[in-house]
Amino acid sequence: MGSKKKKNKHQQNDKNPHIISNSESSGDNICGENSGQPLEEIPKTGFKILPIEIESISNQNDNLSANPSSSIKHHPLVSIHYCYFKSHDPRINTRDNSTILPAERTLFITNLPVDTTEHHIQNIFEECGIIDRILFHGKKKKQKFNETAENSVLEGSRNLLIPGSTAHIVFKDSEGLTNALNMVQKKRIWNIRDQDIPPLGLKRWLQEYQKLRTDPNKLGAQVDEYMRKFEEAEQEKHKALEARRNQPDEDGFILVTGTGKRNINTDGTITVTAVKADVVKNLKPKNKELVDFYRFQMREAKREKLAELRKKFEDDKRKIADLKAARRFKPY
Amino acid sequence: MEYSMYQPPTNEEIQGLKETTDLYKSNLFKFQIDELLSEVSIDFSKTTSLENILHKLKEIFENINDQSDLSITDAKSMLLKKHGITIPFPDPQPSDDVKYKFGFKKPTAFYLVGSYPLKSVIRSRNGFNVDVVVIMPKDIFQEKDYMNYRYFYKRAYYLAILSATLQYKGLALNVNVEFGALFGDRRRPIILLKPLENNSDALDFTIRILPCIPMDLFSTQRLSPSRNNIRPQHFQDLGQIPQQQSVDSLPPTPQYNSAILRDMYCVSHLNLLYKNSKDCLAFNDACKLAKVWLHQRGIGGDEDGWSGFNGFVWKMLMCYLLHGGGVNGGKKLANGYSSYQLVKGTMDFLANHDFIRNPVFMNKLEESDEFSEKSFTENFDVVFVDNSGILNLFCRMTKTALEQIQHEARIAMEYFNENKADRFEALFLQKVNDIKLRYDNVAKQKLDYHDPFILFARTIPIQLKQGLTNRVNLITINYPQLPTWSTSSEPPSYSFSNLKLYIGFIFNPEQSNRLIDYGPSPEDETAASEFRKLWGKKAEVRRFKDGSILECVVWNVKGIEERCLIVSRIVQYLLNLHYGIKGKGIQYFTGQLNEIVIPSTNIPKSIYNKNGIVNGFRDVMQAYDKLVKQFMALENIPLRFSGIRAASPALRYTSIFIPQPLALTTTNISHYIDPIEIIIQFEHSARWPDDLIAIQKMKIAFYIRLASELELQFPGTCVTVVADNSDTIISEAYVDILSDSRFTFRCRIYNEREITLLDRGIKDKKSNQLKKEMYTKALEREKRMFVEIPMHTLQIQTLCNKWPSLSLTIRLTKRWFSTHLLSDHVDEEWIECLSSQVYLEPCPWNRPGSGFVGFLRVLKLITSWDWNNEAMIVDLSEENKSSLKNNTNENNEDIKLRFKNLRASDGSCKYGLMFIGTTSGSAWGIEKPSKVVANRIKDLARSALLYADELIDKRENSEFKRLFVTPLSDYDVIIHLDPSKCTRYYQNIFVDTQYLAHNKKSMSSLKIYNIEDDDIVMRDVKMQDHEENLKKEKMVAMIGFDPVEYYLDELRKLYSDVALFFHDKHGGTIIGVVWKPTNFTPRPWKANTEINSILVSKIENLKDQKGSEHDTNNNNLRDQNIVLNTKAVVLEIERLGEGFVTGIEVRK
Repeated sequence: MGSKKKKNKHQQNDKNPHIISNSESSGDNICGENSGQPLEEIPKTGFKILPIEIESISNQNDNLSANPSSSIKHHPLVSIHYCYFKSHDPRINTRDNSTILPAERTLFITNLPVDTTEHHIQNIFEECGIIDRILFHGKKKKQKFNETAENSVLEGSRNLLIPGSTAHIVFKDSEGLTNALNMVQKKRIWNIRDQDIPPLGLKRWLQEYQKLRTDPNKLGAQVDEYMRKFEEAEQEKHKALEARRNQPDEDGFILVTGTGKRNINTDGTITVTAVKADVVKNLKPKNKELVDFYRFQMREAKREKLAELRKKFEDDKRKIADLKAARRFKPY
Repeated sequence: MEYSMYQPPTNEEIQGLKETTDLYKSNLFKFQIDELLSEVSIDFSKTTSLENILHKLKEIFENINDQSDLSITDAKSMLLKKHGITIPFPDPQPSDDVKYKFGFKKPTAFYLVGSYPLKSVIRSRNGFNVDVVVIMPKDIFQEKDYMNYRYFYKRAYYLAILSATLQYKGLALNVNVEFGALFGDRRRPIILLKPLENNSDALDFTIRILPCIPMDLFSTQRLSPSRNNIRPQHFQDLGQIPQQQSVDSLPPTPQYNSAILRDMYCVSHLNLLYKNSKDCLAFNDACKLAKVWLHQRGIGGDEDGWSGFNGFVWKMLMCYLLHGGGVNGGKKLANGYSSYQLVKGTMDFLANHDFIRNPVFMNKLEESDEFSEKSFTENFDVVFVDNSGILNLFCRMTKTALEQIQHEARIAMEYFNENKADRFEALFLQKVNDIKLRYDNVAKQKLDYHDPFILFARTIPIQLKQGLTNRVNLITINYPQLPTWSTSSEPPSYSFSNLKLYIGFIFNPEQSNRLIDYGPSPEDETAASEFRKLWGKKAEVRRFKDGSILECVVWNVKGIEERCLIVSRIVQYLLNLHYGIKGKGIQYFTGQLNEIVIPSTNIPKSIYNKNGIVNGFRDVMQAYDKLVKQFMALENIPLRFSGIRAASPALRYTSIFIPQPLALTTTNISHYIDPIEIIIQFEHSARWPDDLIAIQKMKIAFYIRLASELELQFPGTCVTVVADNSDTIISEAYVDILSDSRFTFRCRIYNEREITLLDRGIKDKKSNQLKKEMYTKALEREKRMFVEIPMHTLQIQTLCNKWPSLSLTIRLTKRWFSTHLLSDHVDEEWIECLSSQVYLEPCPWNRPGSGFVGFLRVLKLITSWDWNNEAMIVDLSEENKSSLKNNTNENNEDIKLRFKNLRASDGSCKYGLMFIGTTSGSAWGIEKPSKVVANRIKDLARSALLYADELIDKRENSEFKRLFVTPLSDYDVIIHLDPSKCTRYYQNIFVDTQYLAHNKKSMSSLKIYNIEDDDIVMRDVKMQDHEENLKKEKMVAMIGFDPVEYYLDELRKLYSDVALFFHDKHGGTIIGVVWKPTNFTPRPWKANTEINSILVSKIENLKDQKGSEHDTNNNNLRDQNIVLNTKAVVLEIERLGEGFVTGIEVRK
């Protein structure tokens, strides 16, 4: 940890965030005040609080200061992020097979920073033991449909977690978990630089931009491959349907199904939709029957007209009341 | 309810219902009139304090003492020393050696005149006036006093004595005594009594005391329009009437004469009006309505020094029409008319009567030469003679003023006659007199002249009209009346009053931007010399294409923005040439905003070539047409094209900047290239798969094919296929085409099948909620992109062609929204609809004729529209106008219903806060702006309008660019971006070219990751060899690459629950962040909160780290509560923008 050059800065004066103290002496207080003591716990939950010190990247990139506008650096240069963890409780998530998340060596951690990668977790927990695997649960159902892109060309860029994400950390052996639960307070820092971590920011966007413009030949091949599989599946479906058609069921009936391709849903079912109301409305009357031939027709028409008059009258009254309510009569 | 609709009716009910329908509009109108009248009328039960003052006045006047005659010097010094009053003598001031004496005797009578006793008085913005006429006794005047201002000097003295008395007794009256000039005419000073403000709840009134004289004091013959009553020697040799010159050869003094006559006929007019108001029941109500109408248009009030028209003249006009003025000598109005009919009838007459050719006489003294029609028309611009046949009531009205009044009256008639809409609001409730909104162009001039009436109101507009010809429909002159003054000070004059005069222009949009003014042939010598006299050096002789040789004036312009300035150039040129008004003497408001939509001149040509904008949008339109032709001619595509549609602001004249072709030689990637969206559609085919994902894949296959065929068949074109190739129902894929005309198009395939399948998926009963939501969202997106936007593009295109200034209005409005960091909070289409509304529904004004006024009117619309309760219906296709059938009403009702449902279903007002529905069925402004943003938009618009007022009214040096500088004080956090890495920085409103140079360097030296065979090959794309290699260019020209957009996209995905982000996408270098207030309400800790949390206790720990005792009890309670860990989030935001963010400013 000491290998990295760090400046311990922190904000002393909350009332005036524009003044930032660079004082070295108070710097360690942020995480290191109770250095050596066990981690604090959130009462009645069993969750331990893991403070991680996060440094502004402009602190590390000294080359940025060459930029004229980098003189604006009013933001907190150091801040603390709080993760919370405890041992994995298999009852909470009954679906999880205990072989995937064995209770005795799995740690449940929550409120991860959005840019968390396996490398970051390794960095924090390597002191406890070897980590077998990490399962992120970043994606929530509220994620939009086109963001859960599968098989996208963008695969390989860094996945971002949503704020407050959770993860399961499975240690190689139960000792790792025990060590983790007995972690003591000390300074832990977040920022790490590693060639293996895909970049963020401008580099990442450039990368994405390029990836979306991949070689058309390769893209074409992928599309062809997909379509080949798709056609095959369609064939299969068709065959199955075909097969079912001529099979009498247990009562000896043969199900008659349409062969028309067009009215079949994506899943092969048929939907019958009614004609839309406004289409019907706009249809020209087909037969021009006389509307004022019989007496009852004329009587009907009179009745309708009266009703319409009454309706209009009511409408007017309402309109007037509305206008009055909105106090629309003040000319100045 | 439904049942009772069919109950058998009674006779009365049928009668009542029928009337309601037959008089539907007027019934609703009538109701609105009643409401308005009750709003503006005076509560006559509250007039006790006013009546008290009037009674006291009576007493004072009855008991006033006569004064002995004084010489002028004695009179002056007596009033000044004893009472501190300066006699309000008109200019020219009487000399001190005048022989005649000044006398004062008790007034013989006094009357209440004007609207107050007639009970037709209304409240205006400045309260109301109560006029008291004081009849001066005959014996203080001499027979010849009508000559050489003697009457006016004596009148001024009389008034001064009255005011001295009132001031002295004023303690009991509790009023403030001031002088004013009646109708801005300094010859006729009056006394104004304003109650001191100790009774605040009482009526806001001013008592005006007008000294008058009996009708038989002077011979009316002597005061006829053609007589001269000011002898030139008067000023040198006062009192001596010269004999050497024949009196008849002197120029007539009609204004002077009328001023005396008006004092003589005051009471007789009152009698006439009183009689008419007794005969015609609705007379007073009609007067009140008319006064509201006039007041809203700035006619007849204090701010009106120019019109010569007011409520009194309107009443006289109505009297005239009650007895005549109709067809074949009949009556235009009848005593039994309703107030509505009276106003409409009078308005019709005012709008359409040709006052110049057919002067109006209430009474014609046929036998008299002195008061013949000729005598009036020769000496006055406009003639409307009163019931005596002697006084021209339009004596102060110029032709220019008449035109403006008639213009307003014509608009009013249009509103009265409109069947489809109820224009009550535009007629009576909206303030029309707003200089910045009313005219297409405005010029401001300091009133530096003795009397603006002569020079400005009469001559200048006529000269300008000669030069502007049919470029303008109307030239107007506006200036206020002289302000009132305290009795002790010198009377003000127009020269020193610091008043401003405005010349307003209403354009004829078809002609206003004409490049050439054609004159007569040089052979027609008189006409040609007149033409040259008008234009001076600008006039030249040219031979035209049709072979004719003509005198002409040619206006050279660069680009469409400059074309809009031709009128202003003509006005400034003519004023300078003929009146020597130049430079700072006149301020002209029109082109000040144009620089906002033209990138700065300092920008390197390789980025934006300013010379290219001469053609406006023509270049891009041609490039598009060419591309369409190429598509249609394209071979080797499995399906034929059935349609290609434009879907971009660039193709509907509404992109802020005029699109420019990419510079040929430079291959720099440093600046943003805006792709122009187009939609292509193939002919129907049954071979598309019935699966959404498969359709996406097929589309990609088509894109690949299109790309290779386009490049092959049309050399010089480069096409890039862009696809994320994900297995989703709607994936992002398109081709970017750099056409051979060097414009970049982004082309997407529209397949109707997708819409059908999505629709089916939504309606499928087996779909679960999640799928339905997903499909609905996808369907909305597809419909918008492929159906609504192309249609919208076509509609806006048509409107912009029809009304040329609409384009600039939209561009300015868009720029305004984006400079206020609202780019992503409103849709461009929404802005376009909003701006079009100003043209489609321009009332109460004319349709805007310049981008300047169009833009300001959009701001006005934002502030004045009742967004919360009303859906704005924009008739982009102008269906409401064209179709005769009434199905449009249905259409409107549909939109209203949709809006109502939206409001009803959304209790917390999250959606549709600025809802706009179009008659063609699309709706805008539903998802955004949000409530917070909507309020901010309104606030910003309001303060922008105030600032515009200030700029036009007060400032000498106008800094209009400041309208586009946004206040940053409301943001919690400001993210500063590196301008040299913002690809759109060149569009910044205050661009600093230092960064652009930097920009090029820093971007081209960036390592670009080129993905090949899954290996990241680092390539340095420094294009040292400028060889025209298309393949390389294709990669280097990063069409549509805007890192800010990527960044914001990421931020919104992650933090839309906790913060709002604000940015100007047109070159902005900051992102404003506002935390949502809910983040700071402590809430209990949970394992899964979806925010980056911090325990409240931790914050307190940090705060009082320096040793204050912890209150443990308290802590326990709060131990489990969390809030947003803003500091950690700020650092996360910074990490996400690595290499791009230069600093984050935490402000709150």
